[in-house]
Amino acid sequence: MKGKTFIIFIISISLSLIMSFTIPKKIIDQIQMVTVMGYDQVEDEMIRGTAIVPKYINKNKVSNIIYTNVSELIYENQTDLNRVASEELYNGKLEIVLYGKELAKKGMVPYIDFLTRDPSIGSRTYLAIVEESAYRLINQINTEQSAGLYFSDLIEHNIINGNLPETNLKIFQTGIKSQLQDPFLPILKVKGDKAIIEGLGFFDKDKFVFTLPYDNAFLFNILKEEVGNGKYALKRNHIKASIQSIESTRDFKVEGSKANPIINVTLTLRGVLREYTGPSLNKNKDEINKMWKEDVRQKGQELINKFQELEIDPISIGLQVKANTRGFDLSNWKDIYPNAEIKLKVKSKLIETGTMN
Amino acid sequence: MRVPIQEKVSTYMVFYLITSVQVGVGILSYQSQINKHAGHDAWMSVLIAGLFIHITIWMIYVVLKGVDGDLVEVNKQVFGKVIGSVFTILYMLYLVLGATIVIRIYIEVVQVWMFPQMKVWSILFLILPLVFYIINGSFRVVVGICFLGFIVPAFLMTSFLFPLQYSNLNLVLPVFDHTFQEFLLSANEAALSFIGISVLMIYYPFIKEKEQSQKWAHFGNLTTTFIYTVLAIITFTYYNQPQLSSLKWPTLDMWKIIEMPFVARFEYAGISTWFLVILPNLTLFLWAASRMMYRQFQVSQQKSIVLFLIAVFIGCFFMETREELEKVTKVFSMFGRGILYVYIPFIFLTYCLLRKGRRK
Amino acid sequence: MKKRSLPTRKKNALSSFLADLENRSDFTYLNIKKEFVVHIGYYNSVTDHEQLQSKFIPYIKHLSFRSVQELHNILPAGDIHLLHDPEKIDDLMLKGYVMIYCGESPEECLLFPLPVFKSRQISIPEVEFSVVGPKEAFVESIDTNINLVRKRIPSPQLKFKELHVGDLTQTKVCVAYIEGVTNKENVNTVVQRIGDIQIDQVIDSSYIQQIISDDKNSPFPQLLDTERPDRIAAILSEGKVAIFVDNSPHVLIGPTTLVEFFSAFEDYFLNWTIASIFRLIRLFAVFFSILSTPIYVAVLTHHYEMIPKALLGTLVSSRSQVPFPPILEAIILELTIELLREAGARLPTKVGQTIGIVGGIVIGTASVEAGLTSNVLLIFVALAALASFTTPVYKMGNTIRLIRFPFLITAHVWGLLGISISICYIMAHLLRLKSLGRPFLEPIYPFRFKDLKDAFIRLPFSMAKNRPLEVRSNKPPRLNPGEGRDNK
Repeated sequence: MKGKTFIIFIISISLSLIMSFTIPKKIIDQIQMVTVMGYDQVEDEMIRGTAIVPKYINKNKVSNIIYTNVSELIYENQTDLNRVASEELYNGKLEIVLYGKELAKKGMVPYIDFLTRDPSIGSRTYLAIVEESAYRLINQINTEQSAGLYFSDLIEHNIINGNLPETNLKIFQTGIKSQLQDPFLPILKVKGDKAIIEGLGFFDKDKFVFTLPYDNAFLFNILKEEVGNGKYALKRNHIKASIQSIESTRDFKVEGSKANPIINVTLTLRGVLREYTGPSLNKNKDEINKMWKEDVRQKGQELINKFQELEIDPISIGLQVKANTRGFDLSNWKDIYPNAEIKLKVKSKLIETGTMN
Repeated sequence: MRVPIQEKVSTYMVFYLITSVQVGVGILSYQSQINKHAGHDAWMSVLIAGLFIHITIWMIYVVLKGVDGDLVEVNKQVFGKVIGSVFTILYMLYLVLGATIVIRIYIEVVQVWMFPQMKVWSILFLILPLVFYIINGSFRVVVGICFLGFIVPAFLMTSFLFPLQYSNLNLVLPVFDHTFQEFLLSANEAALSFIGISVLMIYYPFIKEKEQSQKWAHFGNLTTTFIYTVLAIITFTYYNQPQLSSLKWPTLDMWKIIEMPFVARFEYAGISTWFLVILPNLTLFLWAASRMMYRQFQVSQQKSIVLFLIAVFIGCFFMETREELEKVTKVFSMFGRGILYVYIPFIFLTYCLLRKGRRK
Repeated sequence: MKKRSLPTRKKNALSSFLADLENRSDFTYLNIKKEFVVHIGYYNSVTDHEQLQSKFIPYIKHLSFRSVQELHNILPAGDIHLLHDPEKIDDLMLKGYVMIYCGESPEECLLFPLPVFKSRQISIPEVEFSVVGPKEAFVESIDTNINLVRKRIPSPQLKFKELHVGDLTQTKVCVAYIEGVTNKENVNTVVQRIGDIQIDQVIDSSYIQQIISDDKNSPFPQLLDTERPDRIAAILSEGKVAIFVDNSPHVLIGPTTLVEFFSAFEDYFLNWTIASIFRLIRLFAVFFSILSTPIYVAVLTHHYEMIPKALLGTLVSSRSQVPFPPILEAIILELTIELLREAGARLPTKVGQTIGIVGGIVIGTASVEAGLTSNVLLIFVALAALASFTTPVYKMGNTIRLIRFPFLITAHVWGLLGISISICYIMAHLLRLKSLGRPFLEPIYPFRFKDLKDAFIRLPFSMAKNRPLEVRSNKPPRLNPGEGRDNK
């Protein structure tokens, strides 16, 4: 490059860098990262926003700062919270957003809009409903680590190893937008200074309508997705058994006419018996297996019927029907679904009984 | 117009020239455009569009092989000197507009996702000298950028495997659930993503074994079609249709799900790396424009590049809001469709007629 | 004034020159008295004294001759000159010749070579040390160096083209190549570029390197330099050109490619699997060295979202005491490392080591404890510095270390996008670079699959049957057809 061009070159580049040198920065120790956000309904149109910000004191010590405020819009809330916070609040590391039950009953759409509109919030952010109020839960929680990590670990390990179906912002958003399925969220409750997963909350579009106790979450889990490590407690008559490491697959078959579809759901379960009290296991193994199968089938069918009764479809049966029907009519489905015949069939196998017979 | 041998590039480089110009900013958002008509089946429209581009490439090669020159030469032979030069100028404008839109959309993405306070001009001051530096080298350097702009960001392709764990195949079932007309309408939208190939008509004389390069051009188009189709299927199984329609950049949104032990939010790395994908578009378009300027008016490429860069700068400066940008993009896609559906078939047909006439 | 005849004028010039010599402090005159006086003159700094005193003078004393012409005929040695031009005589004497003439006003002088070689012994390579393989390194004497290479390629096809560069120094430069293998074009380019050099002094081969480089403003070296004769031998047989410069222990190689700068010659002494992995590690080290600190700055300044949640606490708490923004912190630390390196390089080895330890442990720990830098960054910077020293070629190592600073600044301003743009700048620059007119980025671009056998990885020798395409060798196959079979 020749002299003159080179000079223009350098001037242009340095101009760009110098003029932008003062572009607003988000240096990690000079901002406050909101990790938990809670929203509650107060009075009519007002919402109370509560935020937890971890303050890292030194290597292993975290103190959770709680900010709270009441306003109409979520971002208005955030602006007001900034009036209290010592540093600017940012949403980028949001781990979980908690919603009070009252708020969820009114409809979630206005309160999750910002989560998807703001590009800094990840799709893996968890959402949860709080039995009483998010404000109370946030204030009761006492944990050594950052509260965001506490909540996300709580939910994450229950998804991987427990009976909680996979849930996060992306999945919830899919449920809300879809006309063929409805979303669900875990429900949290205060227990001492810890949180407990109380059950699953189901939505009609975006309005909370139904609670499933966590004891039955397994049933929904196997209906909703293929499970890799489920747990089931079998209690019937005089037998008590705990079946663990359950792998499940599901299969949907749509038969019948367009107006009168018959949906056959087949679940295949394989589990390991880990705890057992009752008459000799050796002789009754088949019996127990049958019992388990029947138990699951019965409760599962009940659950499906309950969903139909409520006209909600968290299992996404609508999607299955659509996928198997040419020229699927979306507008009719709403009327068909509550009366559709959904048959649950369960196959099960106990593959191990642990180290004892 | 002879091109000296040291300026020429290897034949297989056509592959990279084709792919790098087809993959640009369009791939970030095409999914929510193509599904307007054919819904969940729209991924097949991508295949149709890809097929159509194959035909276009074939037509371009028939004409170029016959004329043995570039677009300026073709225009001159088909339309005559005066009208031909009008088309040349129009095409030149199209290229400059294309470059402007590409860089402006990329800056918009950066503004929305990373730096809301970023001034358009300040980043342009950093990018445009780079473009000048590349084009000022020689065509080989431009091709080198195309090559590296395909190879280096290729690893990003693996990142689209992550959304698969959340994808549901039922979302694209049943297949063929739309009318043929809907497929074509969606294909029309999808064709916009492939538009860049017409630059081929300008760098054609710079290829070592021009005639043999056709297979590489087809192979390049095949690759892009494959990438677009696979990405469309991944997107359609990841989002349901209403959700997809509400998104501006589905490709970027999908990245938000990626979480690795060492990096939590992949889209920031992805958008930054995407600059390497944008750069070939930008340089190749502007190089082609300046080359046409040289061929038509004998203005040295160095001078015309500066002119075009200033034009790009001013253009970006005036497209401030999303709406303005969309308006200009609409004009550009109209332009592009005109070239694809009218201009190229027209010169192809005219050329064939001329050749027949000459033979008789 | 009368016009004198030509020989007389010559004679006068010579006499006055001879008279003038006596005034030079390092010039010595000896007289031997025979039938007439034999004058012996020499520069005692460049002439071999002992030989002269113990062998040459006694020998001359016993010879019988009448004139220098006669002496010229009887002396049993080559490279003897009879000269009358004072300038030429002086030139030769400065190179270690002894001047002999008879009588007081001679017409011609005899010049007999008795130069003293005061050069280093051949020692082990220090810059490019290898655990296995030959342990000889080039020294300052060009003859020794050429000898070291000849010894390895005893072939008449190995040619040296001698040139002299430098108005003042008249440094001998030899361009070595193998005829029939090396592309003549490459040799001509080198010879022509060296011939065009306009400079008064050439002290080292790096002078030549800088002057004949394709892009003199580039921070990247475009000619490889090595102190290993074995490497030169290997590279010559690949079809490249080597440039020997007198008084320089480093020999230049061209044309080169970028990846060649990251291959240590030891790679060829190890099994190819091991060598390939080492090479990949080294390449990774280069990227790590350039990008780690800028990425740290970019992420901590702009993209806090990217930090995994489990790492967040560590990063925030490590920085909580630091009053500076990441960019300042990084620049301070990088400069400290550069200072330590510079101090270590300028001091004698033993003191240098102490400086390294003091700097590494004391300054590092102290600055973390004082809260001036975060310990995470300290780890990054130290690792990056370590990684940059794995580059086998010293000059490339310098480039790698300095290239980091523009990256740091763009990372501070535009975060990862800034890094990305910087990478594009480097890429464009490398694409434009050439080494002796051959593309520098080969075999990446232009992409040559066959040359990848010895780039990022080193495939076994059996796979390397052809010379690299990059050099455009006149004889691409390494073996003549059938030759390999004969050896069986």
